[in-house]
Amino acid sequence: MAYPVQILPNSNYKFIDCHVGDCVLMRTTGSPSDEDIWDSDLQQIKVAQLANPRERVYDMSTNLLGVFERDHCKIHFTQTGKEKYSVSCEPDTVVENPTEIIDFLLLDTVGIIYAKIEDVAGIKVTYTSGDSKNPITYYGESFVKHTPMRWNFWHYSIDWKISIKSAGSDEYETVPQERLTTGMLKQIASAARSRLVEKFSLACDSYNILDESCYMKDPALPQQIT
Amino acid sequence: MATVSPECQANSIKQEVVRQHNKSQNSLTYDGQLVNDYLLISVDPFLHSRVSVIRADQYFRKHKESDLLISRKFVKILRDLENQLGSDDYLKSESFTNIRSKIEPFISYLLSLSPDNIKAEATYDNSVFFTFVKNGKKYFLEKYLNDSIGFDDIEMSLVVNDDPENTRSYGGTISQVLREFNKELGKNYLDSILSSQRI
Repeated sequence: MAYPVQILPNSNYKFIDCHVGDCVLMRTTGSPSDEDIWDSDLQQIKVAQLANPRERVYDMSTNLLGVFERDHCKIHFTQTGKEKYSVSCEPDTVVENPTEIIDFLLLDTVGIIYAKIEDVAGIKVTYTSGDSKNPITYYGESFVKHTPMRWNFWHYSIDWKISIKSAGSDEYETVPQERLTTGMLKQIASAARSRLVEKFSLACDSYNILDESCYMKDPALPQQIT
Repeated sequence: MATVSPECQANSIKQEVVRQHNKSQNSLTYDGQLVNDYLLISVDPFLHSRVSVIRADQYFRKHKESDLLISRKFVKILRDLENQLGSDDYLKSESFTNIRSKIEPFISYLLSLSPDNIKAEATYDNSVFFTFVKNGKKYFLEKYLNDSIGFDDIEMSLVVNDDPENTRSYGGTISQVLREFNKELGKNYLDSILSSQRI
């Protein structure tokens, strides 16, 4: 199968600059079976399916549904393909088409879960750790970011901005990821899991498709086929 | 033949019930209040007697059922975890026996709080993630399985999602987190009483 070039970065593409709150994110799961993905008792996604495989749940990969279609979730990169294509890039990077078998395979063994961007962005968490007499308190808020990859322009990440209150003021100071302790990272991942298992679902009845002007520098130009 | 007073008879039966009950328990304990309840309400209707008679059959039926239910839930949680580890390519290398030894007391504790529902899942981050449901509210507890923790690490975390504007997350040692969990359950209990009074 030829690689779907419409999902690759393109010299005429730019970072998506429209409101995307009502757009839908897709994430692949390790199993296509609804029973393996959905906990019907708890009415939520199973945790293992949300973060599979060993991956940082607080910086979660997803794809924007639209030009990137459900069938594109079957694309699975080989080790050679990952080295070449599983890399962040600028939206207008010109990329060589991946080749089937060498760079990628199509797998039927994946499932898909969906979430509206407005449901997974702006989730606020107050983290308290340690002794209740001398607690350490910090704050988190989820955000969704367009993070094009060499294999997929429509790649989005769900990430968390962590901040602390500066001493003696009401100002909040952002804590860079490298300053987060092991315990903080675990706590952030745990809170992210617990919120996201409730926000994702098995089905997506409708979704919004972005206007070309949202992601093309010049919509009048024909799409470049690399 | 020596006559045994009704009070003495009741006391000796009560002691026997408590003794048998304690014998039937492993780690779970009750405060004896339920035994007293049975003692007070069980006046033998057939003899029209004022002698208090413990309906031990009722007492044990009720408690055996509740213990059995806890045992069943306990076994189900462990079986589900074992199945998850066995069927997941990424978790196959984890030793179920090792995980089990680290979470069994914790599962017993959670079940003793009579959840409406409880589920446990192993994660890819060397932890077990519990979803605990009580009075319609969900609590998420994550127990990390590391053998030792550093000074900036945590043993457990708790997430409470009941406020859509602000999720609360607690992290720390097991005792610190369970203290917060109990506070949250206390609030939950009060909320449920207040809402039932409003109805």
